[in-house]
Amino acid sequence: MPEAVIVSGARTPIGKAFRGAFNMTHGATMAGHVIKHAVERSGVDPNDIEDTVLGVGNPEGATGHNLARNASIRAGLPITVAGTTMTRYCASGLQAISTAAHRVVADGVPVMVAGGAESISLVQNNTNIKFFTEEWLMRHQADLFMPMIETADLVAKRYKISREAQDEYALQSQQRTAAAQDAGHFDAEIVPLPAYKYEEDKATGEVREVMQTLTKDEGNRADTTLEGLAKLKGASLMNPKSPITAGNASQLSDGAAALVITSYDYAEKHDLKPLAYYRGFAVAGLDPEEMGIGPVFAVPKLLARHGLTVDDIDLWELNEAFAVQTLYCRDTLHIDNEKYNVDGGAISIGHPYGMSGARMTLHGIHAGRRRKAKWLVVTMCVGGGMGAAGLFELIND
Amino acid sequence: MLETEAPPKAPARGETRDGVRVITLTNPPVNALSFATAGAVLHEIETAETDDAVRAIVITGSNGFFSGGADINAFAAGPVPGGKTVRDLVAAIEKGAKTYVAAIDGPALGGGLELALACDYRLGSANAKVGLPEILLGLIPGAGGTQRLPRLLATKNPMNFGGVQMALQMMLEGKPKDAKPAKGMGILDELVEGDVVAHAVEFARAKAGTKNRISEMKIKIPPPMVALAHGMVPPEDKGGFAAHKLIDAMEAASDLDYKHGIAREFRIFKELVTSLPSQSAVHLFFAERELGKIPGLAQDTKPKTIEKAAVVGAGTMGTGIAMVFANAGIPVSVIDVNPEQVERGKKNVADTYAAQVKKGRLTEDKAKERVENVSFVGAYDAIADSDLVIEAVFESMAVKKEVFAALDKAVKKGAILASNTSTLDIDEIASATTRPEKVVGLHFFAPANIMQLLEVVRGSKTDVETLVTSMALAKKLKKKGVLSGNAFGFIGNRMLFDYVREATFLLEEGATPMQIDNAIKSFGFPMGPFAMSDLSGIDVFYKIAQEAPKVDYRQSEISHRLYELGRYGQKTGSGFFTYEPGKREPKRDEDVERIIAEESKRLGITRRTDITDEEIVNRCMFALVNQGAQLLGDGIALRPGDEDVVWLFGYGFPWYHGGPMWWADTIGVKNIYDQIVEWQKTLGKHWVPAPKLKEAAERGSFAPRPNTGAFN
Repeated sequence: MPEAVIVSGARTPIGKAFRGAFNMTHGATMAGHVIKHAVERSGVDPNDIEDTVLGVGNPEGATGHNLARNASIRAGLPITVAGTTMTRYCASGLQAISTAAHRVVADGVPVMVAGGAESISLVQNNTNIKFFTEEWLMRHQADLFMPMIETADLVAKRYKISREAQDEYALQSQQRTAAAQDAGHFDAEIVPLPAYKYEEDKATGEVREVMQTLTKDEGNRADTTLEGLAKLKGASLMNPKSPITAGNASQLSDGAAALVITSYDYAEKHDLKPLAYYRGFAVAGLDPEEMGIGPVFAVPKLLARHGLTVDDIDLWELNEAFAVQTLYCRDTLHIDNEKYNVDGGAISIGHPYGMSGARMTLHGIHAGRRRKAKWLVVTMCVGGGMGAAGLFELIND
Repeated sequence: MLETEAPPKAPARGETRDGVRVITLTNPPVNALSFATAGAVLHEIETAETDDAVRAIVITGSNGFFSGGADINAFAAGPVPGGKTVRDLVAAIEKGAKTYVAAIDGPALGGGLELALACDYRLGSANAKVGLPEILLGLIPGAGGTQRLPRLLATKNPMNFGGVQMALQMMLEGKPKDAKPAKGMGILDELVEGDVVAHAVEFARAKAGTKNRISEMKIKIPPPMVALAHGMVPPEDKGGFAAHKLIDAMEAASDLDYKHGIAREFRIFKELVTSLPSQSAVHLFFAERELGKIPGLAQDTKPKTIEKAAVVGAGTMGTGIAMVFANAGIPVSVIDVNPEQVERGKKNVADTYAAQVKKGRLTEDKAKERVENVSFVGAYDAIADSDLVIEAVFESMAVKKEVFAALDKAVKKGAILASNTSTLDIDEIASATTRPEKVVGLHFFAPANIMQLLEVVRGSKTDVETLVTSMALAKKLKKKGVLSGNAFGFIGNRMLFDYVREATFLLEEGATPMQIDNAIKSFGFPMGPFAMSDLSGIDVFYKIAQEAPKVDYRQSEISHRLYELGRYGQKTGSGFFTYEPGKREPKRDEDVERIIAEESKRLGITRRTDITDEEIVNRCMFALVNQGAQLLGDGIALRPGDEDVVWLFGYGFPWYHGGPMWWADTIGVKNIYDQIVEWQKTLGKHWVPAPKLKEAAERGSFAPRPNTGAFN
C-alpha cells in the first residue's frame, strides 16, 4: 500500500473573533489563501491534485456551501480539483488530514489537499437553529447540546482540578507562545492575509471597513500574569463559582490552515521534500457532558494499534479547549510536560474549531523537526463527546 | 468638527408650519447637494431635531427640482476635510427622533433620492422623478441607496422577490422612474395633486410620532439570485466593474444589518471613485459638458432659431437626418428628384416610427405627429423658406457643388447651408455658393436617428452665428455636437483611416481579419475594423480613398482587391468576411486569407506567426492616438476630450477606457511616444510621432488628471 506524506502547509495568522483581523473575512477567502500557498510551497503540479478535504466545525453560512470546493477554486486550483467538506467539530481539521491521507493510501490518489477553517465571527452567532434539536435526544441525551463551558466546569468538579492549576497552565501556555513568537517559531507556517476588517467608532457607533494585514496571531497576551488570571470571573452560566474563565479557556477566533498530502512515491518522483508520514488516526466516543477528556480514550487506541507507548511519543499537540481538560488528559496519560504543547495552544493562540487540527499538525511537524523528534501525536476533545488522535512520523533532514 | 451654521446665502431654508418644519433646498439650478448645501441642510435638521415645537420634518426642493444629487464637480475634485455630504444628512435623519417626510416635486436623483429614502415617507407630484444614476459614472450610490432601495422595494413587492429585481434593475440601468411607476413600485407612498409641500405638511402632522425607517426593513436575497445577477452584467474588465460591485453592495443589504451594510457600501463607493472605469466615465461626462465651449468666439453671439429645416436626398441618411429633426419637433422637408427614392424615404420614416410604437417606445399620437413633421418635396422652390438645409447626397465633390449652387439660388438669404459630407472639403463646397459664411458641415453618423454624434465642421469662412447656431442645434437635436476643423475626414474619420491603415498593414504582416477583429473586440469595441468595413461598405471606403489627399507612404491594396472582386461587404454577402443570407455575423473566409497571403508575397513580406493581441491593439490604438495628437496640433480638434467623445459616440470606443486620448493618458503617453519612435524605425515612415504627442509625453499626459484623493 502507498504511504501518505505531508509535503507542505500554510496557515493564516489567527484573528480574534468579532473584534479581530478576520471579523468579516469569508471562509473561502481564508481557506483559498492557505490552499494556494500550501500548493505553491509544495512544488506539486496542481493538475495532479484530485480533491480538497476541509474540516469545518460549523460548515454553514460563510464556511458553508461545500467550502472545500469553493476554497480550492478561490485558491486558483484547476476546476478539475474536487472538494469535500466535513465536520467533527474541533477535530475537523485533523479528520480532514486523515481522510485525505486515506485517499492516498487506499485509493492510490497521488496528491490531496487537506485542512480546516473556521469563521467564528461570521458563523457562530448566525447558526441556523431551526429544528436544531430533536425531541427524543433532548429527553435521553440532552448533553449533546450542552454548552462547552459547562462540560469544562463539570470536568473540573468531577476530577477535582483547581482554578489555580488551570490558571497556572494558562500562564504556561501564554509564556510558551510568547517565547515561540519571539523566536519566530510560527513564521514558517503563517502566510499573512490582507483583509478588510470591521472597526466600530465607539462614540458614534459608525462601522467602517478597514483594510489591514495581520502578520502574526493576535490573541496571545505575553504580559499575562497569574494575578491577572485570578481576577477573571467564572464564565459558566450555571455555576457562579466556576473555575473556567476567559483566561483559562481557548479563545474564539478565525483562521484557516491547509496541507498538501501526496503518496511517498509521488513525492520522490517529483523531488519534493516530505515533512512527515501520516501513520494513523483513532477516535473514541464518551459521555458528551465530559467531552473534554476524550483524548484519554482516543490516544491509547491509537498507540496500541501502532505498538507504541506514551513515552515513545516525542511531541504532543493536545488541543487546549480548556486548561481543565488539557491538564486532566496530560496527567491521566502521564505525558511529560516538556514534550507537551511546547509552543502553547488554543488558550494562547486561539481556537478556530475546524482549523485547529490542521494548525496543530502543521505546527507539530515544524516544532518536532526543530527538535529532531520522530513521533508526533495530535489529539483533541470533541463536542458531542468524542476524542480524536492522529499519529505522524516526522522526516528529519 | 466643522461648524454647521448656515452661511449667509443659505442654500437651504427652514420654516415652521404649525408644528412641522419644512426644510427647502435652495441651490439652483438643481439643488445639488454640494458641501455647502449639505452643511446648510444638516444645520436645519439639527435645529429642527432640538426644537420641541417641531413634531415632524418635511424636506423638499425648489425650482422644479427635489435634488439632482451630489455635486459631481465637488466629488471629482476630491473630498474637502469636514465638508458635509449626503451621507451626513442621511446619518442625521437616521439618528433623528422625529418623523421625516420628503415632498418631491421634480427630479430626485442620486444623493437626492438617497436623502428622500432616509425619510420615513415620500410624497411626490406628477413631476416627481426618482433615480439612482451613479452606475452611469461607474459608481454606486454612496449614501445608503444600495441599502435602502432594495429594502424598500422588497418590502413593498415581496412576491417572487419582485422588489429585489426592481431595485437591481433600477440601479443597474441608472434610468430614473417617472412619478407613476415610482408610486407603483412603492418608492413614493403617495402621488399628490396640487401643492405637494402643503400636502406633505398635513401628512407629516398626521404621522408625527411614528417612524417608518427603511433601514429597519428586512430583505432576503437568495444567493442563487445574486449569482444570476453577476452572470447578467458584463465582466469586470469589460465595463462591468461597478455593476458587480453594485450587486455586492445590494447583497449586503440582505446579508448584513443596516449599520454594516452602509459600511460595505461606502467602502465599495470609495474603491470605485478611484477606479479607472469610473474616472473614465467622469472624464467623458466633463468632456461632453465642454463640447459647447468654443474659445475665441464673441460671447454675445446668439444662435438663430431653426424653425424649418430641409434635407436634400431621401436616401437612408437623408431620411435618418429628417427624423432627427422630426423627433426634436422641427418641421422638415426632404427633397429628392427621384420619385422612387422619395417613396422609399416615406416608407422608411413610416416604418421606423411604427416599429417604435410597436416596441412601446412611442405613443401613436406622438408617432403620427413626427411622421407629419416630415414632408417630401420634389423641387428646390419648396424649401426656399427653410432656415437650414442639410445636403445628404452622394459623396462626390462634383455632385455636392452642384447641389450647393442650386441651394444657394433657391433658399432664402441668411439660411444655413450644411453638408453631411463625411470627408470632403467644406471650403470647396462653400465656394459653389455666394454665402460661404453660412456654409457649415453637419456630419451625422449612420443611422442618423440613433447615433448620437454630430461633427460640426467649420469652414474657413463660416461665420460665428452659423457656428453658434449649429452647436445649439446639436443640443436641440439631442446630439453630441463636436466642433471640427476642415480637414479630410474631420476628426472621427481622419483618425479612423489611420486605425484601419494599421489594421490592414497587420494583415499583410501575417494576421488574419478574424484575429484582428477579435483582438479589437477584446479591447472592448463592439466590432473590429474589418467587420466595420464590411458594414459601412468596402466600396464606400474605396471611393473615399479616391478623394483622399496623397500621402508619402505606401498604402495597402487589400481592400482594393476586394473592391475589384465586387466584395463590398455585408451588402454583397462578402467582404473581409462572408455572411450567410440575412445574417450579420461575420464568418471567416479562406479566399480573403489567400488574397492577403498573395499580397504579402507580392510585397516580399515574410508573414509573421507571432502577432499577439497586444500588438494588434497597440498598433491600432496608437495610430488613433497619434492622429488624434496630430489633429490637436493642426487645430482641427479643440480638445483631446472632444476626440474621446467622437470615438465614444461615433465609433463604439469602450466607455470604460474613456476614449483614445484619455486611454493614452492612463497607459502613459510617454510609452506610446517611445513605441512610435521605435516603429518609425522598424515599421516604416507612416509612423511619425505628432508634435503634440511628443509634448504630451514630456508633460506626462494630454489632459490634466482628476484628483483621486481618498474619501474618508
